[in-house]
Formats: sequence, C-alpha cells, structure tokens
Amino acid sequence: MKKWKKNIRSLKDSNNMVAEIIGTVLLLGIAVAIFSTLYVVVFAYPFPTSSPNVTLIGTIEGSNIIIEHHSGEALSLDTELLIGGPKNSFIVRDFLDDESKSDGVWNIGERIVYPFKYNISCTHVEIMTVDIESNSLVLRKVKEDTL
Amino acid sequence: MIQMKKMKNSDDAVVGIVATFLIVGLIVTVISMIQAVYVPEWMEQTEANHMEVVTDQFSQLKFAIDTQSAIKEPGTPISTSITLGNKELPFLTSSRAYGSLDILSDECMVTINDSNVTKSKSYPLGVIKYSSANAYFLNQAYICEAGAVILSQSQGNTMSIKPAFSVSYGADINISFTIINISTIGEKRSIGGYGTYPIQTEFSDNDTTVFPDVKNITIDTNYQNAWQKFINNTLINSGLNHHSYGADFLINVDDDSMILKFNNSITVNLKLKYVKINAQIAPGWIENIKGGKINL
Repeated sequence: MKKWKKNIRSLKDSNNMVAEIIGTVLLLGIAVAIFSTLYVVVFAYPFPTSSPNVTLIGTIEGSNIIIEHHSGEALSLDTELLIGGPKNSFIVRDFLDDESKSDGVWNIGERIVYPFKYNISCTHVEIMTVDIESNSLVLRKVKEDTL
Repeated sequence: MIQMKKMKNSDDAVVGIVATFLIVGLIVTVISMIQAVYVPEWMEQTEANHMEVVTDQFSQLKFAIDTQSAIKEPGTPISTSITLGNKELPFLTSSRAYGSLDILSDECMVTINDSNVTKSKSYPLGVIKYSSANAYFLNQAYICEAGAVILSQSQGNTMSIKPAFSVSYGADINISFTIINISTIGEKRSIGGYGTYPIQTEFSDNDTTVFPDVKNITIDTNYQNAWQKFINNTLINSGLNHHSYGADFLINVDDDSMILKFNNSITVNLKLKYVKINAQIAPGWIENIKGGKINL
C-alpha cells in the first residue's frame, strides 16, 4: 500500500510526457479547427447540379417556333430561351399557355409557341434553351433556310 | 520484462501507424463522398439512357407493327426486343432498375358516331405497355395504343410516335385513321425483370369501314392529354378551326376519354382501318388464327 502511494506521488511530481500531451492536444485542436473551417467553407456552397435529363424537340410550324417538352424531368418556368443569339433572351414562362403554367413547371407534353416574322436576309435561326438551376444547355438547334 | 518496457517506451513505427490511419480515413471519406454524391448522378444518367434505349426499341416495335399492317401477310411473325431494366454499378452500392412489359386487352376503345347518333360502332383495343421501376430517374411508361406510341410520366403524357391519322380538307373533310388492336394467344402476355426480352408480333386480320358524316369520335383511354393534343394539332394544321376555336370541331376531355365533336355545318367522312395484330412476349411462337381456330 505504502509503495503504491509512493508511486502515485512520484507520478504526480513528475514532469515526464507533459510536452507530448500538450503537443497532442494542440495538434488535435489545430486539426479540429482546420476541419471545422473547411466544413463550413466547403459545405456552404451547394454541390454543382448536373444537367437535367430532359428531351426537348424544336420544330417550326408555319410562322411559329415550337419547343416541346418530350420526356424527362420537369424544367423551371425560369428556363431561358435564346432565339437567334443572346440578344433575344426570354424565359419559358412568357410563352407557355396558362394551363401549362398552372403546375409551376414546364412539363411533359407542354409546348412553347414563339411567333416570328420571316425575314429574307436571315437564312437560319439558332435556338438555345438553358436550364437556369444547373446553368446548362438543354437544347441547341440551328434551323437553316427557314427565316 | 525489460524488453516489454523498452517497447512501451519506444516511439518506433508511430509515424507509420498515424499515416495508415490518415490514409484509411481519407479513403473512407472519398468513397463516402462518391457514394453519396456521384453514384446517384451516375445511376440517374444510366437510367435516363436506358429509357432512351426503350424509346428506340418501341420505335422498332412500331415499325414492325406498321410493316405487318401494310403487307397484311399472316404467318410471318417479326421479333423485336425490349430491355426492361439495367444492372447496378459494380463494387459501389447502387440499386438495379427493373421494368415490366404487358399485353393488356381492352385498355382502349375507339367509338364512332355518325349523324344518326343512336348508331355507333365501338372497337375495343389491346395495348402493349412497358412500365419502368427506376430507383433514381423518374418512372416512365411506353404504351403502344391504337397505332400510337405514348410516353407517360407521373406528371403527364405525350405522343411519342403518332398513329396513322391523316386529314384531307376539301368540300368535305376526309379522315383516314388506322387503329391497331394488339391481342395475344396463350399466357405469354406479361414479363418483369431487367433483361432484354423479345416480343413477337404477327398480322392476324384487318377490316376497313367508311363512316359517312361522322359527328363524334370517342377514344376511351388513360392518356387523354396525348390524344387531345395530337388530334387538335393535326386538325388545326389541316385547316380546321381556322377562323376560331370551335368553328369546325371541339375536343372534350374527361377522366377516361377524349371526345372529338364535329360541328353540324361540316361533313366528315371517316375511313377507319382496323388491324388486328397478335403479340407474344418472351421466346416462343405465335399460331395464326383463322376463323377463330388455331391453325397449327
């Protein structure tokens, strides 16, 4: 018993391993701080959204450009429509009928009807549809000799 | 005893152990990241690609049925195939996509009413339906119905391949419409799984009827939206309802049917071609039916 008490006392009075313990605690603290900072910084940004899996079909019927949602995921009504370049930029909401807009998304079977005027100086039109959420192109179509 | 004490006090191999722990931690983190973020993306893309494959396969099926309708040659089965699902990723945890293919009888009905409303003729039609059971991408169904291929999702449906429906607008309006009735012999009418299975089709019978002065065409279907938009666009592009909507025809849609009503001011003649196609899923053969008896 006496020996055991003596051992405890000598251990309490000893300075051995103090540096290692402080070093380990400091290293742990630094590691936790760095990982916490990284976690807050990295996970604050959303992961990049992949392009939606959607099939759009573009046709010209008479004097209308028709873009139909043919299959796949529903697109936002804020999906951007570029006709003839970035200067002619519209959003889908402006060209869908009221019934199609009622569910809040551009869905299967719903068509955008964009009226245009024939112009003899224009021989082709470029139509692009951009999904705003993923900032990706979901349709690009160049129609030759139409306008 | 002394050696044990030496080993306890030794710092040898500590770096190796710490480095191993760090590397294992890093690997676990990377795999978790891939599993949580990238595997769902890859699988969704794989399932979307599989649905594109099914679209292509239904085009082939429609081509086979149209060819058999055109040549009207009994005893010449044509086999096409449908891939029901796709496999999971190797090593990583992911789900397999399944699907089912069914031949359903009396799923659709086309009814023609002429000016004498009490006189009507109905054609019950069978369909071929593929339904996906995807784990990541949204579920879709492809239906070969009355000569059309319809794509249906939970949010709606659309005409993927149009039926043989043509309109000629002159003094009278002449409509030609070919409807396909898919029927089956025996029990090979349904299959589920994820593999590729053949479906055999064979011309059985046909009949052409001319209906003068048609007033209503009713299609009892689960896909009213697809039919309504297709018929509305076809008729408008042919010159009907040019002055205003309702001038020549109106389309009413309810829960289970689409009704095309022509105004009394116009005369519509309908040439309806009814074609019966026998179909069978999975390997095997189809016996030709003549006069209601199996001709072996």
